[in-house]
Amino acid sequence: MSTESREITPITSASTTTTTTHTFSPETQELKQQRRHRSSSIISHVEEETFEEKIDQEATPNLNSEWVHSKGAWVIHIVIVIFLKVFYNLVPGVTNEWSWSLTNATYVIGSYIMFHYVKGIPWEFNSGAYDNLTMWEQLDSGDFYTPSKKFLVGVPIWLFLCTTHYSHYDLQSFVINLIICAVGVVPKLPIFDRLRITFF
Amino acid sequence: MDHIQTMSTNITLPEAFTTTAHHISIYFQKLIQLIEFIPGGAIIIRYIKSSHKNDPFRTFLELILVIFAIRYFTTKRYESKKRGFVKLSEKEVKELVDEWEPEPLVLPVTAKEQWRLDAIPIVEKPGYDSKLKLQETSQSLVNLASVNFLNLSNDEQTTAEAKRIIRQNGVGACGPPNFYGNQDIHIDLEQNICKFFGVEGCVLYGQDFATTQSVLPSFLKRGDYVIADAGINISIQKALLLSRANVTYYNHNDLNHLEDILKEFDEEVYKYEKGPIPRKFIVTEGLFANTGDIPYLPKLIELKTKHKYRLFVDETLSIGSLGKSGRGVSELFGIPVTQVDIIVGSLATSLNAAGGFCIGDHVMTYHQRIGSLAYCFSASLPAYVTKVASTVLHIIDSNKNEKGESQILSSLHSKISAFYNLISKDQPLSKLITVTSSPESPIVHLQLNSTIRTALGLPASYTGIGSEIGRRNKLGISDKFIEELNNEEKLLQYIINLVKSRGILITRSTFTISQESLAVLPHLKICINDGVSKDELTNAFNVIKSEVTTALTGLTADGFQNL
Repeated sequence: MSTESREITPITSASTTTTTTHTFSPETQELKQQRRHRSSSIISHVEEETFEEKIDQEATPNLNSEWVHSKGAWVIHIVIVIFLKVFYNLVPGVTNEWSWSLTNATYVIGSYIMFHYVKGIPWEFNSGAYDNLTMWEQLDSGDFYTPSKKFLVGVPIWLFLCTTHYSHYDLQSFVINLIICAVGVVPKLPIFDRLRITFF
Repeated sequence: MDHIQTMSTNITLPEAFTTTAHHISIYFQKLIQLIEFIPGGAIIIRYIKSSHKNDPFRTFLELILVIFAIRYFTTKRYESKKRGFVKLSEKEVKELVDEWEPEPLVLPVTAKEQWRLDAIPIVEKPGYDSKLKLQETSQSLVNLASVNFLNLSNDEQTTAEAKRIIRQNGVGACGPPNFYGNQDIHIDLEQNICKFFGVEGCVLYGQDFATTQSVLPSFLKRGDYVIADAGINISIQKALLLSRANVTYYNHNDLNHLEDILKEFDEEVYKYEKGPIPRKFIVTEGLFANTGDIPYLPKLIELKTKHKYRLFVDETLSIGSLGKSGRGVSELFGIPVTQVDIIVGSLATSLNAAGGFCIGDHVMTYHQRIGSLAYCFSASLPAYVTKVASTVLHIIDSNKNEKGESQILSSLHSKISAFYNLISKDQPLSKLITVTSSPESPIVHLQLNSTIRTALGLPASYTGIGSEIGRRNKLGISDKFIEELNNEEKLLQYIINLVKSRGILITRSTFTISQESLAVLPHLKICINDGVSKDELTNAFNVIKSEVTTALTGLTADGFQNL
């Protein structure tokens, strides 16, 4: 139980009539947490967890991110890429160049949604202790340069090199694929850890 | 010499470039030949050759990417610095362990608190009858200290049923409800409770104190909002702590304050929320265990519908004692039970069994069968206990008149109001004590009058914000002994002892003071049950009045020593 978060937090009231008492708030978390959402800046940083949140995070293994470490989870990335390539090859009218670019785009956007867009845990076991964190930030309890993270950074780079090579270095597809690769790699860099970019 | 000089002057800048480039390319070709000797080297060369395509800029970009990847792969793992742990060396750990002197698990009873142990009355027979006998002195007592409001604990029908079920089903359920713990009798009771209240679903729990603590966290998590009454009992306080939700308290039973808070949250907080809509609860008690008053439910229902909240009511004490047929606080105000979203009740008070239950609509109760910790992991009730509860429900409903009033409850209510009229309208007594409970409450709460409390130098509150206990909890001081609280409780016990010596047993509120986070004050409690006659109640009132007057008149702050 953190003692710091138990400070009395008077709710800022616009109406002066309700100034009597907001003194009952022994368990109330800082309303700072609520006010945090009001920040109008586009780029914001996820604040450090409170002591209680850390305890809840470490009380049980995080089933949402543990599976990423297993060998099958690594192999499945390659399998998915091959599957996507075969799928796009089978679509009539798609040239080999486009088929590679589409594979690259599908994989990167898919993994972006999975690792960097969706927050929290799909089921409930620790009272929402991970609700503010993306899956990438949940991985290895937020440590950097772990084997799984290295692998997950490596896959989009490898895919980009493959794509540009097999699409015969057409300038247009090169630029598109480079941007897609950046989408896959840049959010995984430590300096972008816990950074939120919100436009609306 | 001359020749060379002219040569050097004739060389132009682009030529210099071409010559150096030529030399480099020779070395480069040698390097490529070298690489081709390495196994697999030929493939790399072929790849680079076909990659280049006369566009050095692109090759350069790819090279940078490859270098970045290699750098990333070779960087050592490092922990994010957000853990907030101090890493201690083995030596430091050893030192700390050696230095540590454990506090005793249980502190020895001090001379100042010995009276607490001495004050516990030991009765002859088990049970919570309206008439008791003390073990040592064989003195007869009128029991006004149990929450056995309907006086059915030694009822012939209930005991006979309990005996029959013990012979049939044994004494234990041997497992949680989902793991062979539920027998037909449990399902029967759940259905009986559903029928009794006219709700869709009911879930039984093994312990009433743990019911709220399991129900609330199964619906709430971080980011959800709870607006709770500032007079709720410790069970709900702990439930809210466990739920991790944002809790805001409104002044005890002050629904205008609640409305202000709701409006403020609508304007200041929810508007700026992003992501999924949070769950919003209003949490209160049907009959407050700490003060004995009742919230005005119609207004609460109105507020919760208007501001889109869910209403949670803990009816531990009110079910089986309030309302014309014991349906609790909603029946008292003539509101259908289904209007309240979650009701938690106890089988251990009026229903004379043990355990608790939660009633509401089907979806809400069904969620608890897999989502509520106490239901999933705690043992089910013994079969005979559930049968007792079923029988009591049957007894309450079996003697109803055409207006829907249960005879046993109307008799209880007439006694409560008779006693309440006596004690609340007594002028001399009101100068000494304040009755904090509602006229309908079966537990009459008597609090020392505020003028007397100030005269005796007692603080406005022992717990909660700004109190001494709050300060000690914050600083982690394990000694929770407070002189004033000990004095006040001792004074109340002194009154109880005086009343007891004249044949009437009343009680006082007890707290786990270190755990209370809201403001509480010790009260004298008179629990009226149906087994006591009106004459006995009048007599009890006279005894209490005279003893309170003797104890409190002329008492000064120094007088606590002599109690």
